[in-house]
Amino acid sequence: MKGNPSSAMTRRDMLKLLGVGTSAAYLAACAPAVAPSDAGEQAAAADEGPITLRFAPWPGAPSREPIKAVVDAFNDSQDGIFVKEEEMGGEGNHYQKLKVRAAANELPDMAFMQGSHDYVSFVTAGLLHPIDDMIEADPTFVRAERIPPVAESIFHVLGQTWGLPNEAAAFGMYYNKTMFDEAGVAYPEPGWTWDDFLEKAIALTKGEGATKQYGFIQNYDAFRSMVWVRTNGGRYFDSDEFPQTISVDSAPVVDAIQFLQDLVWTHKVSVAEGQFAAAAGGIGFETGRVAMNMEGNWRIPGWVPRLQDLGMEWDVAPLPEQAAQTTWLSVDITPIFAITEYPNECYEFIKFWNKEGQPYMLELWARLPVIPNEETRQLWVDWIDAKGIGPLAADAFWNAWDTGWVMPLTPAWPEINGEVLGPAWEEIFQVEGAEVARVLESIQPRAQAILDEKGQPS
Amino acid sequence: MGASSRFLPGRQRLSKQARENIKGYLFISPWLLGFLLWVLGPMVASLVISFTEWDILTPPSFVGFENYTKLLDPNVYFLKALYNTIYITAIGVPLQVILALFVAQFLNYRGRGVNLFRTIFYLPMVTPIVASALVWLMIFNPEFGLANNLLRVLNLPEQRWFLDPDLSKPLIVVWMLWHIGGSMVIFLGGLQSVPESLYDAAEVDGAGPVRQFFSITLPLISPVIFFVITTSIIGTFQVFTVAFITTGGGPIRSTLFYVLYLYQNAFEYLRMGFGSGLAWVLFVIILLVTLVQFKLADRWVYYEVS
Repeated sequence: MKGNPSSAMTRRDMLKLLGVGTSAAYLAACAPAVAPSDAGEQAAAADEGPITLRFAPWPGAPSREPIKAVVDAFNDSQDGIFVKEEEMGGEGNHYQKLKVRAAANELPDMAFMQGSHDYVSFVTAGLLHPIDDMIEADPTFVRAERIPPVAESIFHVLGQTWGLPNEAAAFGMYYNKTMFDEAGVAYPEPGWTWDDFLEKAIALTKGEGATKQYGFIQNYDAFRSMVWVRTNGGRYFDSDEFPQTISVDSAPVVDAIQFLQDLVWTHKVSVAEGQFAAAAGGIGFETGRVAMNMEGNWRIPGWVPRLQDLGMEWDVAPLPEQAAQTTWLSVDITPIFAITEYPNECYEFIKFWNKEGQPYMLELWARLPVIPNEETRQLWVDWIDAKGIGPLAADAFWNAWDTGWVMPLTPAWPEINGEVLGPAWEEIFQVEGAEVARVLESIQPRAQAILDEKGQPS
Repeated sequence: MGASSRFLPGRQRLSKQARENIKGYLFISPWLLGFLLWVLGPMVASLVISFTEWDILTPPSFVGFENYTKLLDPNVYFLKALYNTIYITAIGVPLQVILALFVAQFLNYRGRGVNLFRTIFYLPMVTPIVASALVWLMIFNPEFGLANNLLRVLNLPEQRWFLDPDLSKPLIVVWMLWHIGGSMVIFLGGLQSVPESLYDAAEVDGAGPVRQFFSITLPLISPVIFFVITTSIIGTFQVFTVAFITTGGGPIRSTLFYVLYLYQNAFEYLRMGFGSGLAWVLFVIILLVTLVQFKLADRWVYYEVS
């Protein structure tokens, strides 16, 4: 080493420096990240400019454009608040990531959540900020308009309101008109029944082996089967909010699941969707090998260009009736986390999304406007018409506001579904000869035990 | 540098050995700190958590040994997951070792194309597991997969493969056999270290290829075989990704392997205490199995230096 001996770094100095540097790097890595929502920093930010709200959007490519459009539109609409999206990466495990962030005290101000069991687990853990005070102080707020009565049970939990609807979707019966025409089968019509459905599915099934055409497809899991159970007049749970009882062995449930199992094993007009490709739901309908597919309106943006390329004519009918004509209505939420320093500003954002943000959700994500009225219905109908789908599709989804049901909220659902219902459904739909009544009867006690243990607010 | 360091304070107090030790520790400090912070720390934490009930969102509560005693509860699938894991370990690892050794022996020559074949056999190892698992799914798709198309051509009954509880585990074993490249390379290294002179001498004594393999090759590469068996068993006990991607543990829990079950409990159902308990039980199981292997190794592993 050359230079002034007194100032030159010795090898020992270098090693010390390396040691200290390495330790510092590790300690820095271990230290909690400074959240922009920390009081001091946010207070400083408030002095310097708009308040920044951290928002965790829903993951996955299809939702990026619409959610970003809503955020951008809100940011452009005023000067005092800036919503900053914090994507957490990856397509899945949204809730697990949020829960880990909660444990690390690293939650953002708001997050997109599905209006279901996952969101309610944040409610019971006391991690969310109710918005009742803000609603009360808001003279422009009309509750029945902003929160449709059918979805009230999602938003009003344990006596408090936890957010506003941000998007909605429903199931309908997609059908391939070309296949119906080729088979000489009449298209489904509103009011069609399970018998009509089965008759058509049988008539539309032909061939064998790799080229077999199936009459119907859906993912045979406990959640989607619930749609048929409700149509059959049954329910898994005794109520929509923190149910006390689960009855998977009741007659309407068993009959509905038996009907579905018969489609697969007795009539052989359907297969478990996983049989086509476990990693790609709906591939059967998309590839022109399935005549009918129970799916949600979220399929429309992807399927319109794809099915057009295939030259396929298609429409969406309401689900067939049995004891009732009904469908699952999904209404999602952007709750505010309790840690936020700016609940009122968050409220402004979710209120904007609930109304002004809806055109973006429709145009870019095919979602039902969440304030159902004549004006928004017309928007929906025009949009469906512009996509060249029809004539049944618009009402098939829209009528969910009148006839639909929302998912019962119980934090026990992931465990009941994953540990009990999932394997039972696999047995019913993947093992020929499995007795539906016996399987459902055998799992009932365990399902109830999990509901008792994990299903109630603590 | 020597001139300047001579005057540094404190130098006289440390012996040369001590200075060397300090340098050594400083050089390994990145690993050491990483081990302490990211391995040992979480291990100790998980041991503590295993005595609690904790869902991340609410404070943990101490439950003593409950997470361990309930492992045998009929409503808990610990035994099922353990059975599935032992199944693929007991069947998959011997097949893997035998096949890898066979392929290594086959490719242990110097000639045209040998590097190409070695690359081909190693290729699945550099393919991301998720990608290869998805390829596996497509091959064994009951509707349009290659496997059933082949059966159709041969007029044999089609199979439901991953959807069949009887076939799902064997398919995972076959998938494991597709990934013998790592073991094969280790065996190749071992085979190439066997002195040629031993084979020459054996040949002079009239030993054929089979006799040479069992009397020379196997004893001399027994440490390599031991290493491959040990690491393969440890790896197979921790199999996760392929089942997570292909079956999610189904159908009917037929591919619910231990680590997948652990993951489900810890990260899907947020039973952190139970998940940590499962992790420690697995640690003890692997430790015991490995200790038994080391004990048995005295009987069949030949170390030249001993």
